[in-house]
Amino acid sequence: VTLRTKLALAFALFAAVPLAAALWPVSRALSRALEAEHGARLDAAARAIEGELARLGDEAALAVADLAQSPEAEALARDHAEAAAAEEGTRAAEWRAARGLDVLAVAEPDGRVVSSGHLPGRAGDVDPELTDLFAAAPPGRAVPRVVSRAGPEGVEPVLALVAWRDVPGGGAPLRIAGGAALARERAARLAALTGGAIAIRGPDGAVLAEAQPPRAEPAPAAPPDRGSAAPRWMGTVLGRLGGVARSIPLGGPGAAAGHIEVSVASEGLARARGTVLFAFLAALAAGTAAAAAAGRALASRITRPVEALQQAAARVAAGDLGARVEVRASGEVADLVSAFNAMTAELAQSRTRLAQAERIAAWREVARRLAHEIKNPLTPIAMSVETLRDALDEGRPDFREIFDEATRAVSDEVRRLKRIVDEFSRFARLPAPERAPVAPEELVSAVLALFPEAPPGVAVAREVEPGLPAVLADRDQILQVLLNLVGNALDAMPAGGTLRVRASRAPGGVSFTVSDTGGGIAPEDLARVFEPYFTTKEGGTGLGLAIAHRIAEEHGGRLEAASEPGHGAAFTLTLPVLVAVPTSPASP
Amino acid sequence: MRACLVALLALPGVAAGGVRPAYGGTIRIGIPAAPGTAVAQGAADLLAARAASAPLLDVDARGNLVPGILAEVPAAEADGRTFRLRVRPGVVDATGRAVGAAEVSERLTALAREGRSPNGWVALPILGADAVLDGRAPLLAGAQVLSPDELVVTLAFALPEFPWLLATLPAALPGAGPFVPAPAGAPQDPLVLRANARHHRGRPFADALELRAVDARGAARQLDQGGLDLVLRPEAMGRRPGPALPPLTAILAAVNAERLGPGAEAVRRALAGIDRADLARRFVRAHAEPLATLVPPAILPGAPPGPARRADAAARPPARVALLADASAADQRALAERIQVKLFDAGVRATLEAVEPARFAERLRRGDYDVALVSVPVAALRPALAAGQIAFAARGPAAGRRAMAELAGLSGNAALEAAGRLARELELFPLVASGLRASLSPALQGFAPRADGGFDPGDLWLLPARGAAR
Repeated sequence: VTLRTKLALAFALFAAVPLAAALWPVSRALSRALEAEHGARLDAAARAIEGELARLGDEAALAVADLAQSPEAEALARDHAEAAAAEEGTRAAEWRAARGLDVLAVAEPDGRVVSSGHLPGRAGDVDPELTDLFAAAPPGRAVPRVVSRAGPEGVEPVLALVAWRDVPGGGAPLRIAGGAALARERAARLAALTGGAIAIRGPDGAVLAEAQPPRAEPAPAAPPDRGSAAPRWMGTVLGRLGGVARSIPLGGPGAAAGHIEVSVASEGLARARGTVLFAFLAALAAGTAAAAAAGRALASRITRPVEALQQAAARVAAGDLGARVEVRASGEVADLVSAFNAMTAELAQSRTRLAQAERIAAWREVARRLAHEIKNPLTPIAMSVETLRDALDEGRPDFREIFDEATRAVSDEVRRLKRIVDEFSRFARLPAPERAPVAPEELVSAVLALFPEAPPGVAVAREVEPGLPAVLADRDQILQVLLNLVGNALDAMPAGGTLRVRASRAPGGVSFTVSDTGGGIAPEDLARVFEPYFTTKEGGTGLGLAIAHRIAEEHGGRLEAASEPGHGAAFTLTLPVLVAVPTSPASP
Repeated sequence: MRACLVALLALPGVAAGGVRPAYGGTIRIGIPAAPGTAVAQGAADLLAARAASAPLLDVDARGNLVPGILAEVPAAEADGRTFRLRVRPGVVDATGRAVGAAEVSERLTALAREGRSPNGWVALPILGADAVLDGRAPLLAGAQVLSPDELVVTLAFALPEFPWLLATLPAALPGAGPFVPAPAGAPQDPLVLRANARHHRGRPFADALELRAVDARGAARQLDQGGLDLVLRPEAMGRRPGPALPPLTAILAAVNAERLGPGAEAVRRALAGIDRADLARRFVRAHAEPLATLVPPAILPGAPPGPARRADAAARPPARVALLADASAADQRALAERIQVKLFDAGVRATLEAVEPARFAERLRRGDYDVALVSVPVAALRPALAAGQIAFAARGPAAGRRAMAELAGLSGNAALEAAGRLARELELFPLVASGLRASLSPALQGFAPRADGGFDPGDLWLLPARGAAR
C-alpha cells in the first residue's frame, strides 16, 4: 500500500467516524418516530375492525330477530309438524338470500336442523355447532363462531358472527340462527376499510380467509425519479422485515373463536425509514469520499517529490547519470532533492574522469602490447641483418645460403609484423554489424564448406535442428566468428578427434556450438579466454576470441566457453532471432 | 268418432260430473324445464314425446298391456326369444303416410343406432343390436319384416318381459301421436303441439297443447289465475292438486372405484350409511320413496334379502372427491348437497359439480367423476327392464344387457336379490325414487295417469265454457 493510499484512508476514516456518530442517533430517532406512527395506524385499524365487527354483529342480530318475528317464520313453526320436510328445507336458503345473511339455519331447540341456507345438506341432523351456540350464547346477541358451510371447494369452515332467536307464536319450538360470515369478501372489505392486510384465523390459528389491501392508484404521469429507486427498494425490504401486525381476538379472552390479524400497509413508512437510512448512508459515503479525495490531494503534494526521487534513482541505477529531479518541494524534501541532484552530478563527473583514466590506461596497454609484439620480430630481423653483414664482410663462400636464410627469416618476421598490425588495426576498427535474417543452416553449411576435407584423424559432425528460425546477424562477421571457433577446435586436436558443429534452439534465439575432443582448457585459463591478447597458442595474438566475443555482443547475443580438461572444449554462440522462439525440450 | 265413446266411458271427469267431453281449446301445461329438442329424458321431454308419438303397446288403467300401434300384445314363441308383431291396419302418421311393420323395424333399429343415448337400452335385447351399436351392421339381425303388417323380432336371450319393452315411450313411433309439434318459435316461446286428426285413436279433444317451463311460484300463480291448466312439478300447488305420478325416476349414486382407488371404500361406507328414507323425506320435493335396489319400489317393492354391504371401517378416506350432478334437476342438487355433508361427516371433502345435462352425460360416459348422481326415468314396469335401463344409463350397454339377462323372468325376492347383487357389483348406490306431482285447473278434465306414470295427452279436454272461450 502506497503512502498516498495510506494517507487517503486515514483521512476517510477520520471523516467517517464523527459523521457516523452524528448521523446514527438522528436516523434512530426518525425511525422510532415512524414506527410510532405505524403503531398508531395499527391501533386505528384495530378500532375500525372492532367497529365493523360490532356493526356486523348488530345487523346480524337485528336481521335474525326480525326474521324470527316475521309471519313466514311463524307460519313455518305453525306448520312444522305437518309440513313436508323437503319444502321446509328450502326456506332457509330463500330467507338467507332475501335477508342478506351469509349463514342462516332454522333448527329445533336441540340443534336439529330443519332448514339450512348455508349448508342445506345438514337438514335433519343435530348440528353440534348450533347446539353449542344455543347453549353458550344468549339469544339476540351475535357471537363469533366457526360455522361449516358449503362452498365451491366442498364443506369449509368459516368464522361468522352468529345470533339466534326463538320463533315466537304457538307453533313448534323453532329457533333461527343466522349471521355474517367473515369470509374472503368480508376480509376484503376489512382490508379496504383499514388499508391493511387481513387474515382471519380460526381458534387453531389456521387461516380461514385473507385479503390484501386494495392497491393505491399510481400517480398519473409521474416523472421518473432517479433518486427514488433506492429508497423504494430499501423501503420494500425494510417493510417486509418489519411486518408488524395486530391480532384482534374474537369472543372471550379464554375461549376465542378466532382472531383477525391486521397488518397495516407500512410501505410508505418503511420507504420513509429507508429514505432516512439512505440519506444517512449517502451522507456518510459522500463525507468519506470527500475526505478521501482531500487526503489523496494532500498526500500527492507530499509524495510527488519522493516519487520523483524514486524514479530518478531508478534511472541512475540503470546508468543514466544525467537524471535530475525537477519538482517543487519544500523543507526537508527540498533538501533531499538538492542532495540527490548534487550526487548525480558528482557521479557523472566521476564517470568522465574514470573514462579518461581508462582510455589512458588502455592506450598504455596497447602501446605496451604493441611494443612487445613488435619487439619480438625485430630481434630475429636484427640478427639476420647482422649475420648477413658479417658473412658479406668475411666473404663467406656460403654467403648465398646465408643470404637466403637471413632474408627468409626477415621476410617471415615482416609478415608476422604485418599480421600483428592487421589484427590490431582490425580490432580497433571493427565495423558495426549490418544485421539481416540469415538461416542457421546456411551459416553452418558455409563454415563447413571452407573445410572441404577434414584434417587427418578428425571426424566432422554436423547437427542442425530442423525448423530453426532465421537469426538476425551480419553474415560475414558471424562466419568470421564460427571460422575462428572451428579453427581453434582443429588446432586443439593435433592428434585427431571429433569436431562437432551444432545449431539448435536456445532461450531467446538460436545457439551455435562448436566443440572438440581435444585436451580442453585449464580452468584458470577458461575465465580469460575472451580477454584481448590472452592466448595459449604459440604465435597467437590473443585477439581472435576477443574479436569473436565482441561481435557476439554487438549482435545482442553472447559467446560462452565450457571445458573440462582432457575432455575437450565447447564454445556456444547464441544469436537472437526475428521473433521469439519457444524453447525446445531438447535444447540444452 | 271412436274417441268420444272411449273417453266417455273411461274418463273420471265424465263419470263424476256427467259432463260430455268437449273438443277444442289449447291446454297449457307448466313443466319444470323447457323441453329439449334432442332425446327425451326429462319430464318435459317425455311429455312432449308422448304427445307426438304413438306407443306400440299401451298400459291401461289397471296396469295391463293393451294394443297400441300393434294390433295385439305379442306372446313369445316356443323358444322364448321370438315374438311376432302385427301392426294395426290402417294406421297413418300425421302426414298421412302409412305406418307398418317396416316403420316398427326401422324404429327399433334407430334405437340400436342411438348407442349410448338414454333410449338405446330398448334395443339391447334384440339379436344383432351389438353389431348395429358398433356400426358393424346397418340393420338389426333380430328384426325381420315378414309383410307390411307383420314382423318377427328375435332376441339375443330369453326375455319374457319384451312386450313391456314395446310399451315404453322410446319404442313409440314419432310422428304418429295425438299431437304434432308446430314450427318452433322464439327460444322463450312455449312449445306448441297441434292436434293430429289422423291419430289412430281419433282426433284428440284439445286443438293444441302448449308446454312452457315455469318455476314453482310462477306455476302456482298462473294456475290460480287460469294461465295454466296442468302443472307437472315436484311440488303440489293450486286449489286442485292432482295425483302424484308414480315414483319411477330412480336416483342413484355411481361410484367410480377405479378412479378413487383405495379411498373408494370410505366413500362406499359413507353412501351406504345414508338414511334413504330421510333422504326421500327431506331432500326430494317430489313424491319420493327410498330406493332399496336398482328397481323403484313401485315396480319391485321390498328390500333385497342378501347381506348388507360390507364396509371396511379402517379405510382411509380420499383427500377430495368430485361429486357430479345434473344441474337441470333441482332435487338432484339437494340430494347432492346431502351426500356432500354425509361425505364430509365421514372425513371426505366433496366438491359439488352441477353441470348441464349434455356435459353430465359426456362425463358420465368418460368416467370423469368420483361420485355421480344418476337420475333415470324408468320407462318399463318390469324389474328386468327397469334394472337394464338403469344399468345402461349408469354403466353402459354391457351392464344394461347383463342386468336384463340376470333379472329376466324374475319377480319377488328373487328379483330383489338379483337387483341388490347387481347394484353392489356395478358400484351403484340406490338412493330414492321420485315422481312429479300434477296440479290441475278446475277446467281440465281427462287427466288419468297410468301405472307407468304416463298419460295420453289426447285424453285431456277442457270444460266447455273455457274451451269455447278460446
